[in-house]
Amino acid sequence: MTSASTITLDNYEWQTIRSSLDESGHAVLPGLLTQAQCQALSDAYDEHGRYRSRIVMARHGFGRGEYKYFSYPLPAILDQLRHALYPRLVPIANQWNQQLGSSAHYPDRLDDFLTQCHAAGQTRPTPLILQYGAGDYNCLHQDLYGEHVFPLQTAILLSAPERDFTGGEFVMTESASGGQQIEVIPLQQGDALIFTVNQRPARSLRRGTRKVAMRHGVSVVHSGRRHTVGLIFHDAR
Amino acid sequence: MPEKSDPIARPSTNSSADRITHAIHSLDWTTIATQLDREGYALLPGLLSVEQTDSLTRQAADMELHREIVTGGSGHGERFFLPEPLASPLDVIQTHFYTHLVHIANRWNEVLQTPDRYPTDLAQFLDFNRDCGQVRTLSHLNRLGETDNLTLQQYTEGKHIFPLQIVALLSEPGTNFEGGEMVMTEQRPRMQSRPMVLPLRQGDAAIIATAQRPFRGSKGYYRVQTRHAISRVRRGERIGLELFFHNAP
Repeated sequence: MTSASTITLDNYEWQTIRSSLDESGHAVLPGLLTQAQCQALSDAYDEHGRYRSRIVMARHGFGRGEYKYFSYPLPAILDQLRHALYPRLVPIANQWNQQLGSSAHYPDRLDDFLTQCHAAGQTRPTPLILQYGAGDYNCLHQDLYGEHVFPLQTAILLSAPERDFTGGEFVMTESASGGQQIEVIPLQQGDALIFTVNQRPARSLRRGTRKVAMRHGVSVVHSGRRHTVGLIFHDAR
Repeated sequence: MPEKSDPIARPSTNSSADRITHAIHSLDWTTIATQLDREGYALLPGLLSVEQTDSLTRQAADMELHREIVTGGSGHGERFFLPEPLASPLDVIQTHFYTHLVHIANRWNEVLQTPDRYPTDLAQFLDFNRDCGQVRTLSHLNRLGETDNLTLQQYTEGKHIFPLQIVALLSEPGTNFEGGEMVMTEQRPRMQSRPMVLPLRQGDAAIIATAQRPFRGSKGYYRVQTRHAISRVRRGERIGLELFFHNAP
């Protein structure tokens, strides 16, 4: 469906992305996938043989809607993206660890990190595709799958707001200073959002660096159908 | 905007207060009750005219004395608590919405097996509030500038808590500000929070559950916790209204 040459991360202002991640725990990469690439991934939702499992969210109290975990090998475009994004994010993840007083250090290459995950029994792929219809939603949560956690992940919106669906906003909460702050992040078809998996360091004027906990979810979809792809860098037990 | 979203036809000669009274009683209260039971909120498109949102916005600018700077756990922004008695048209909105909402509130208490019942008259309920030392008005305007936000809240101080309230948007999204969405969360037992974004435009209002409401599950009714927040304003200035039926101590 696409060739490797169509995916490039060089056009993005990585200094700005890094500032945004440090400031708010998330950053948008506009138009990471083309409309055709989005469509191809959405269209393959019902194909057999691509996925290792299907989760119906209501059965687990996760929300309403469903998602499927991809099997290894991942679709080429997602494998390329996961490998291309990881090294861009490693310096940020390592700095966050340092700021949070953790000695954990992520290796420079995704394959080396995945080797660590696999050695710890986290062998199953975590990239996934989610499907929401009218009335569906995803409760505010964190995607943790074991001891090894890479603190940033990516979600790519495959559907076009207003044309394909209404409602279904990407919502993040940040718990700090005794309050839960909310952010609604506007995305267009093909946009990728890099965001905090569970916690991040935040600057505080009075107390230096403090730890804030973040969660993400999707607000109720009012109409239509909404697909997203999630790229999580750690694998699952 | 006002033509499109006026909930009812305008009576020809009446004042703004009469018009809004008529509008409230002409709402489809059966549908509203169903929406509140299902989602914990019900939208009221175009409840306020542009003249009314403008006049309330000007009021916020004149209310420096009542200004509270919001910081820390509650977020960042400004709140302007409205002195009692509320001025028109908010007094009319408060009184007339109460006469409809009290039936929903009492039904909710019934299914949740809470013994308290609310009196059918707002004045009487506010007397009960005063008797318990709940004398501080909660109704307020809020003003959020760029990067401001209000964190998830429940206004539940005191013995007498009315389970529903009204929120309204006085500025126009896209024009006056970006971001600043009205977000509700709902927490069911053994579940993480369900987020809802209320699509509001200037003059639109919503009835929302303040803190708790019954949710009908497969094994009967249980109590869910609701909270609401305003997400971070990314650009411009957002002015909103929160109207309550109970006071705080």
